[in-house]
Amino acid sequence: MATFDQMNVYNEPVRIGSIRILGVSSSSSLLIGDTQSMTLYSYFDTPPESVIVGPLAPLPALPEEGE
Amino acid sequence: MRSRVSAVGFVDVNTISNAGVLEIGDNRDGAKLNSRVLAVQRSLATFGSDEFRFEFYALFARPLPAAPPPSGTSAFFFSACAPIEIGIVDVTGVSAASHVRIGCGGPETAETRIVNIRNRIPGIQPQAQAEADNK
Repeated sequence: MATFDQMNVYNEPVRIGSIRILGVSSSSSLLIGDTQSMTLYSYFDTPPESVIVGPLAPLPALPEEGE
Repeated sequence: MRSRVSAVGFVDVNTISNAGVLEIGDNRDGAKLNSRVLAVQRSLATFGSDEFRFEFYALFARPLPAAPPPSGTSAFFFSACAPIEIGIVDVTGVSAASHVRIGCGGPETAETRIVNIRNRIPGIQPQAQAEADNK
């Protein structure tokens, strides 16, 4: 089996009319150009303890009797 | 890496928020973006100060995954006389440690961590739901 220890990449001209994107979010990247490396992370965590059922927030005052 | 020309005729970006970056031009130092979000949604909109801290949640202590070491094959890039030409770039939103760049550079590093907390208070209907029920 042949092994390769070098890879040559020849970039050619790129021509694009228009790019329309609604959103770039949560560690995303839109790059018009070149880069050597790109490291992007994103976590979205909704474990069971993220849902709290209980009166942690102050309750509103009760209406006064006789009104 | 030798940089090449990126030419864009017209750029329209509506909103950049939460550690988002729009960069026009080359940058050898790259970009390092962070964004930590705790989204707390309560059925009654009352909030005290300093209620939620990032260190209370294991997600923010989790180590970042390490990139694999470079493989044995070395790559060489040749970009002479290879411009990137784009007529119109239209982006509505750039948010949460995101990055838009016209130009060359790097390394790019970004990190976002989000915990979404819903606090349901028994006996109190969320306002939006109560309005929907009344219609």
